[in-house]
Amino acid sequence: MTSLGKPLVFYLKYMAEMNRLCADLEDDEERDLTGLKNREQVLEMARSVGDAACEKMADYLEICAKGIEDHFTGLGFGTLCEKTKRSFLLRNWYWRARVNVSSVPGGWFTCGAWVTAPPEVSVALAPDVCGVAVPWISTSGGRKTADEVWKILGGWAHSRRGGGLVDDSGMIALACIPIKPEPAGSLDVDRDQLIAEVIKTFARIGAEQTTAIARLVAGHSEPDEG
Amino acid sequence: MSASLSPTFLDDLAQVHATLRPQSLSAPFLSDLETIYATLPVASDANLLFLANHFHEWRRVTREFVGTHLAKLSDDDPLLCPISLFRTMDSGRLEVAHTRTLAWLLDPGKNEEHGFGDALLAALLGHLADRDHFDRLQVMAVWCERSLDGAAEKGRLDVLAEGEWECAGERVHWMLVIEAKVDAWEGEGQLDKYDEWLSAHAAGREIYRIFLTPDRRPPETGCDDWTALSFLQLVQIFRKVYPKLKHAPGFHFLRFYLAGVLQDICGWPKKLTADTPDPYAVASYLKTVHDSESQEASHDVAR
Repeated sequence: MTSLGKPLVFYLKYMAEMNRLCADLEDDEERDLTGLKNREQVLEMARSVGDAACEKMADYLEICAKGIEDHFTGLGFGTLCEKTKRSFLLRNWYWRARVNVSSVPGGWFTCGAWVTAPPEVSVALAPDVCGVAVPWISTSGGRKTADEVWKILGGWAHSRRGGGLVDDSGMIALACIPIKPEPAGSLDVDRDQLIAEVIKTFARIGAEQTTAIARLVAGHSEPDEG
Repeated sequence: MSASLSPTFLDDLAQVHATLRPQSLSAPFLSDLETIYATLPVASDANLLFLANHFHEWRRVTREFVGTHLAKLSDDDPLLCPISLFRTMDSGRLEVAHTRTLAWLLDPGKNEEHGFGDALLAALLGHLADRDHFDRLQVMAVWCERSLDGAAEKGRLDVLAEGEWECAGERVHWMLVIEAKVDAWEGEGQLDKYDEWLSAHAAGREIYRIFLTPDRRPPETGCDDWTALSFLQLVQIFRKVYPKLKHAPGFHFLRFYLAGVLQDICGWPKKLTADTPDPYAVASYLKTVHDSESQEASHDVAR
């Protein structure tokens, strides 16, 4: 088992606190840490943990990305482009790429994965869960296209806008994979299992569905949101 | 051809090969490394436990603060307002709705409609220019979706304003540009294009650049002068002058707008309680309310 990394699991468990301590500020701006004791020491330690968490997150997303790319290219007509780079993953904890479907001129959609926790998402987690991994796809054309993509997928996907995980009207959260330390109360999470879950989710989008989504988008062919 | 290798050759080869191997690290180096490593704030289990304990206490204290101050909020505070302006139209995160509304709110030229004068624009400019007031603020124009050089395909500035302010003898000609992103990412080189246009059109004016996002993420493109601002910060800036606008015709529109930003963009629940997942953000908002009310009260005494 490869560990997801204690710094990352810790960050997810205390996301509100870590976000506040690790946020970049303007040069002349003061960090509001009212109520926090030993703030200098805590700040220094938290930023160190935050940096380590970012590296662990980028490692995790890069491996997921490879698996997702292998899936779509393995279909024989999918290619990925506009893939986010490691520097982006480190900052945003978010991987995305555009899937071009060569058999459908103008047919493409976006896929990606991120890892998050409340308060960044409005989902209630079980007490022993510290965050979630969210594989997703997105199409241009807003809610109307997303309605049709939802039908193409056959209704197995997790949620859409309003479900607490994604906010964009064209986006579909394929799954909400709980990040659950084992044993409970520890900071140990099996990274390999978490990667396998994400890739397994994308594997449910087969050749037929990929082509159907691409055809749908090609038919709508609305410009990207600027 | 087969040839047996001479012992001399093999000895020489072994010697050369030994020089190619990475040198083993010296004991003093390893000792020093250990010493310096011990001084680093690494994520050891003990350090993580130390942090966790501090975070639990910090959260407890902050939730207490939130609980106390929530109870003191006036009924017309956006935080207590269940109505989101745009959610009623299923457009709570529609970027263009936000930018157009923002341009309208900031425009003193629309005073006959909203009655805010330049109050909201002055608050925003004051934040950017680090001034708590202006002796004089003149606004030449506020544009929404302004096309670069008249061509929409070259890009559009979400909000553009220009004017002049004076404070303590200082006079500044300014331009304000806001690029907002709710769920979208920047287009390729998007802010670089805006920078190019601004450089060509600024004519010596001070340029205030705002990159407005839900999480205050820094822009991927553009120069270093873009100020990353979160929607929550925008609400807080407006909230400072909010009590002064209570009798303006647009007050409730502003109230619904700010409530919508808090709920639909910041993700705060309609009925917020002290055990909210991010009590720190709520506490930050409540401090703004508290500060603005204290300021109002001291002004009232002075009057």
